[in-house]
Amino acid sequence: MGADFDLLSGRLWSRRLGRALPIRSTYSVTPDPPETFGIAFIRVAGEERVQAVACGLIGTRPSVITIYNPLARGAHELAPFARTLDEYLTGYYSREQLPRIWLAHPAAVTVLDLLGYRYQSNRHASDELRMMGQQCRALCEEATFPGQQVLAVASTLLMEHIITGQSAVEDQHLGALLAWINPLKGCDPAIESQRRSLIPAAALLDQARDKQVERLRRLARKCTSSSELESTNSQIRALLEEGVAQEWSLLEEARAAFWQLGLAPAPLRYTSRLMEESRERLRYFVSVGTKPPSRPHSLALRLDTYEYMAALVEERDACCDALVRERMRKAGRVIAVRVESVEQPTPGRNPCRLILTTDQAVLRVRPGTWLKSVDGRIQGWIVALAEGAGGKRRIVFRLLKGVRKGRPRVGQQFDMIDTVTFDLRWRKRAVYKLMRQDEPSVVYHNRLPQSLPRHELPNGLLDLAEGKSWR
Amino acid sequence: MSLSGARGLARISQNPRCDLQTAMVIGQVDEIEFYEALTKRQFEGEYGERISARRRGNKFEASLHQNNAAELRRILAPRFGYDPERMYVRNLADEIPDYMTEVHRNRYVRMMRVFADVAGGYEPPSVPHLLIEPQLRLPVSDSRFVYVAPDFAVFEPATKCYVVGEEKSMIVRAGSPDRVDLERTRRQAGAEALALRLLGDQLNLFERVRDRAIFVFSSPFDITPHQPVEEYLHAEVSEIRRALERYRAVSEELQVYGKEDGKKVVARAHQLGINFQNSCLSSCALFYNCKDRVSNTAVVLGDEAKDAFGGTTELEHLYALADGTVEAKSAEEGALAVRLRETAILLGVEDLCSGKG
Repeated sequence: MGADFDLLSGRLWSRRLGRALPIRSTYSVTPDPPETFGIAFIRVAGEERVQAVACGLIGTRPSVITIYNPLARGAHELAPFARTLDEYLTGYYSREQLPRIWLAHPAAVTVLDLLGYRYQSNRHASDELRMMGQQCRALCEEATFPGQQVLAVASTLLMEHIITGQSAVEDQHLGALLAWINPLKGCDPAIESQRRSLIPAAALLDQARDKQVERLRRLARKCTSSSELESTNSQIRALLEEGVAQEWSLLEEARAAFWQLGLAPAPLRYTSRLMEESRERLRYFVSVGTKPPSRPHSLALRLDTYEYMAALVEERDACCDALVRERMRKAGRVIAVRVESVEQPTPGRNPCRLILTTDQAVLRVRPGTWLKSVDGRIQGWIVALAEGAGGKRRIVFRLLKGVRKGRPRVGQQFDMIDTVTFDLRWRKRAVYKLMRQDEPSVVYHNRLPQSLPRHELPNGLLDLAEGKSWR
Repeated sequence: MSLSGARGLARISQNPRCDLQTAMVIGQVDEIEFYEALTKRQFEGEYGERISARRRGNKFEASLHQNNAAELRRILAPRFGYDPERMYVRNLADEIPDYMTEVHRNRYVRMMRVFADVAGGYEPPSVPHLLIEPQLRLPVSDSRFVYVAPDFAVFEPATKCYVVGEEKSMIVRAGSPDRVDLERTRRQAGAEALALRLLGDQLNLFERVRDRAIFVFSSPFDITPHQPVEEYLHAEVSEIRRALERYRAVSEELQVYGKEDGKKVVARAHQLGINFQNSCLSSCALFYNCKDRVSNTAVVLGDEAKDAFGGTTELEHLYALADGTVEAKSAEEGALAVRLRETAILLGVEDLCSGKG
């Protein structure tokens, strides 16, 4: 029974209580800037083409764009959306600030991504639309990085922060999720959630409206007079506007519910790096483009960045979120230790070893694991692990940071975490550059190099293989 | 949404322990009518494909098949080393139109003849390079069959046999379509690959038929096809085999053999066992009905809760364990009670436990 068990029993308690329960004590995103942008879409089911967009600053009346015939080749109807998005993003780049864009659910991210994909290098589209495509792709590419601070997807964020009394698959419907966060008085949230899940929350019109729009589009194709066509189109517009208004209000409701959870913001020292990385990446993607990495060196660099960002997020959560830390403790990744003795031949100088004990049942560490204290004052690695007296575990710890000032006293108790981040990307970049120049066949051409007979191997390599030399 | 053919078997394979769903597939009942007869309520949710999605699917298939399947030939030819202009195509849907059982049987006979030629050592152009809507079948009893129809089958020179193919209009992004849609398609293709294998077995083509399929999806631009993808379907074929066994067992048990027994299924629906699981939400119209049946057990919290607490464990029993008002019957239950209380404290809802434990 590990950390996941806590989340499952959280569902049990949430069901008994009749409302959602927070599973984090801090927000995973920084507070919204004063001007926050929102986008709500209505797409054509199956086609994934946009037929209505509502966009603008959250808290104001959004501009609504409707497209009578989304399957037509022209895309001039999207121009106002392109202008509004560009205005918002350009304003933030010029002020060197980080923009924030809210979407309701992952289905909206898919629509945004497809918009980008279809227009970013479409020679038949206007410059404005191509720029929109590039910006949409940049936002969606940025959304793939752990800890990114630009694109806020309401349902994903809510699921990260709360747990409900229904199953995780039911949580994926934003309306059903909100029924547990803001339960109506005297109404079982399970019943309300079921009622709300009948209305789609996936950038689609409800089925009745969808059928009407499809019927009207067929009618429009047969219209013989312009007045008849205008009347049919205005009916289509009204239906699409209703649908997109519903999506927009769902987005606003979800955003409000998120900020009303009342959690503490994560300290700036843990989030500033994430923000800076987000800003730099977004600037790069918008200016250079977002061609997905496909060559070994670029893929390796991308994976390194994902890994580093995930480590930063984990470090932030372990250090400043008490609920996440407790779950990590149950998984054996946060250890409550007591200092039994300090071995430091010269006071204030290296080497310094701490003998620590813990009575924690689950430990996911081994010799060589780097640990640091939650406040970051001490850091080092485990030299040895052994069974101690009274069922306790004894840890021999080599202290590398905090040898002088921060060195803990005997008897002191504190938490150690295994999320020690190292940003080695600049060094790896140099390695990948050399790799790119050499183009080793095993990496670039998917074939192994010719095997060499043993006697032809350089001597140094043979010695190394036989453990004779470390040259 | 049709419950017949490969789609029905794919549904059973997703949840083979659900007798209710298996009976629905065997009786080929209309899911909405079935829901309304069972619950005496009108079905309020959304069911079936949207008009636009169906239209797109039909358009996509039509664009691939028009002009003697020119587009399909164009994208498949390089993969198999053919000249698209010289490919011989037979469209069984054009040869014998309509969808009646008799039609299926006649198409199947023609398919058998093609396969007999293949078994006799003939190769294209003596046999078609490409078969559109070939007919295959899976035996569910000694005399009954489930007919399945892949969108196409293409002759592969390397194995000297056909490979089934599916055409789906879903959009490919980053090399793959949506995961949930892909899973359904793979299961459907699994049923077709198994049917092809059984046909091959009858004609001693054992080694030449493999558990795989060619998928043709749409690119994000209109209805132009993406590069075809070949996938191995060992897991899906094995799950479809299991689904067939379940089909036979439930059919024997209920004495329900086909569409003509649909009313029998409706009449006995209340007695049939269910297996409520996460995947039911996106696939079955009866999701909320079954959820009501298990609403006081741990399974209502999802598949993971079913594994952690036990599928039939009542929620009230778990609450009582945490409260200490019920004695733990085993050491595991005792440990469970402690963990539940710990979580309640962690989440700040310890007031919910009376703390007698």
